Amino acid sequence: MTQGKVVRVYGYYRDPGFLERVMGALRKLWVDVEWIQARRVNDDGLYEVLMELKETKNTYLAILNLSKMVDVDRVEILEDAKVISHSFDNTGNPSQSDSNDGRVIIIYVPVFSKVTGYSWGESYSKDIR
Amino acid sequence: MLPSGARLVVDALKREGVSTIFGIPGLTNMPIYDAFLEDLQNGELRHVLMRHEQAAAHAADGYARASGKPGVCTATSGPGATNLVTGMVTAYWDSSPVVAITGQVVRSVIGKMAFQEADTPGIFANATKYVVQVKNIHEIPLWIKNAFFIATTGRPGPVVVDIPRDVQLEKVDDVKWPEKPNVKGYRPFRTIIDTVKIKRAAEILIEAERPIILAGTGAVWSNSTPEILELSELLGIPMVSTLPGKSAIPHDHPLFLGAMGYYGRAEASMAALESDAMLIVGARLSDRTFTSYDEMVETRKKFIMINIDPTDSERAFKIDVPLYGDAKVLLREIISAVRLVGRKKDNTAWIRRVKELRDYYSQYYYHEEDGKLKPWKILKTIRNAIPRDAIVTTGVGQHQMWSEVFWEVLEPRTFLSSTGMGTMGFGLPAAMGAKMARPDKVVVDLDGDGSFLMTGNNLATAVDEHIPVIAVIFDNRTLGLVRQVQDLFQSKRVVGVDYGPSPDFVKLAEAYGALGFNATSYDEISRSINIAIKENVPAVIRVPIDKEELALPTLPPGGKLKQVIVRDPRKGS
Repeated sequence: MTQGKVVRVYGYYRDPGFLERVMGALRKLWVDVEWIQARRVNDDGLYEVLMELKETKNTYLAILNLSKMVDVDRVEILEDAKVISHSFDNTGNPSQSDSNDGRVIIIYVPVFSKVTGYSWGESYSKDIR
Repeated sequence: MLPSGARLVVDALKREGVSTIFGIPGLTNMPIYDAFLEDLQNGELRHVLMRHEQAAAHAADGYARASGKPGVCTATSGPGATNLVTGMVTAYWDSSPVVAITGQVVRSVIGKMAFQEADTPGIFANATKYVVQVKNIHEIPLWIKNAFFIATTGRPGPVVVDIPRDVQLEKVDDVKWPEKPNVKGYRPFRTIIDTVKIKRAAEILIEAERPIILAGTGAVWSNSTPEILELSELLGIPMVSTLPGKSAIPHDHPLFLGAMGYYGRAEASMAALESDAMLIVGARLSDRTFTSYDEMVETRKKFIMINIDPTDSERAFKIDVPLYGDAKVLLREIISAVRLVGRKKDNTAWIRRVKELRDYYSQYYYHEEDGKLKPWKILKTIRNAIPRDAIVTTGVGQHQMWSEVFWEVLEPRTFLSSTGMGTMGFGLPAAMGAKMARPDKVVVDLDGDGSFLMTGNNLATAVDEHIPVIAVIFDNRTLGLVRQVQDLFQSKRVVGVDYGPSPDFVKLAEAYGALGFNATSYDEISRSINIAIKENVPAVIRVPIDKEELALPTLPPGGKLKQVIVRDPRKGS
């Protein structure tokens, strides 16, 4: 299990301002981000932003605020997520290094069994074992 | 002739029912002005040329709050857009639907520090409910429609549509008008009728010995005044409000105690604390209403909360029965459930207690002082001089706090104030917007000398465009609320707040072509208002107020409601 909350935001990208506003929702409540990964999911402009948030008394409120921000479809908390990191070198091969010399890319993979989602005032729970 | 992007903007606005636009033209929104010239000439649109963009946003906001329909403003790029910011964030904090159309520099130079360029999407991203920059002419019809959809649904709020000048000048031969909005990643909150929760809410209210209703902004936007009054009368439940919620409840109702909170009526705050069950209708529990959440939790009362935004019930403390959706609909459901469950408790003792509180605190409010005009009596004089359905706006400062305590709202949507953001300068332009929305109503701006001068130049617009609003200036030649805090809580270290004799408000009004009055007695106030209403022209009534006059009740900074100060601490016990 990780110290923070691993969160997945699904939202529609119109311009990079989408990411700015996601970050803004966290900044406003002083919620820090440990790491972040984002990608385009489909040609409809759906993006997935995966990140680990520091647990503070405001983190849950920030998640709720994100879940009702225009362009955001839903926010999911990956419950009890354990984060595994993988290193790759600049040729795409696995690496043992975790240095920051620019030759190694580190990605974070959350391992989880349940998600709790929030979307425009509604919540849901999914057991995905 | 093929329509231009600017023409599409105008047609899209008209399709949304827009008839009035508050704004100032400049290079990058000029094509829109060019496009609506004929609409102005044939009377289909009215443009109000404001003297500052902040005031354009406040006017659109006042229009929205008075009418219940979105208000529209426009500004050019760069400083025009940045001047809108204060007005838009004011609308955001008070959940008011304002749509701003901003011009932007041409696409080829965006981001290159072009002349009068500002990063409008970046600037407004956190100052509005939404901002969108239109990328090409084909997006205009949909995004204007979407802007109104976003502004008016869910928790209402302001939206900016930023349109580069060259997009406005583009031509198109195939216009596709959307039948409905389409915003991916946006859904208005649903109204959820959970019969179990509704029944539970009804039971709590019936079984409570000391129930109370707290009405907020949502009660105004959902037009749920009749339902609140019906429920209150059905169960004999006293009512209080937030500051903006004042606009929801007629103050001559015997069960209404007034606005509670930081500068609210002490009896309203005390009744809220003493209650054992509170039904919150459309309030987000801001720090102005509940100055300490702990203080509320310690009362161990049951909370029922109706809110359009479900996440609001998660913000502060545990809500026993959260109900989500339109307050009017949900209150009807609660009323039906109450009728079904039946009335059990006798509230007579509680009603008596509430009356005691009202009587007790009244002794502190209504004092006379020789040679001085007292705020409570000035407001009473104004109230008696204007019709029941007259609309009042306020600026921000001591006069606003006096209005919170002493202004008697008698009809819904007749009290407009910047309550969330506390924006000085709101009063006059908001009054102008309200007058444009409801030209049949008398509109009065209750203002302070400091607040009025922040947007007072728009009096020129009121005169030029015949928008007959009356500004009553509580003139104490100081930033009174700041002064009061310095005086009472910062060891009397009064600094940076006192004004000199400039300006003479009567001469200032006359210079603008408005009527100017120096009202030094209650009779003169009354007479000045009567003349201003009769003449039907903009007017400024200056009323002298003693610098030492305090806005009471108040709290010490960071204080709890039970620490309320109701008498002048400088005078001893």
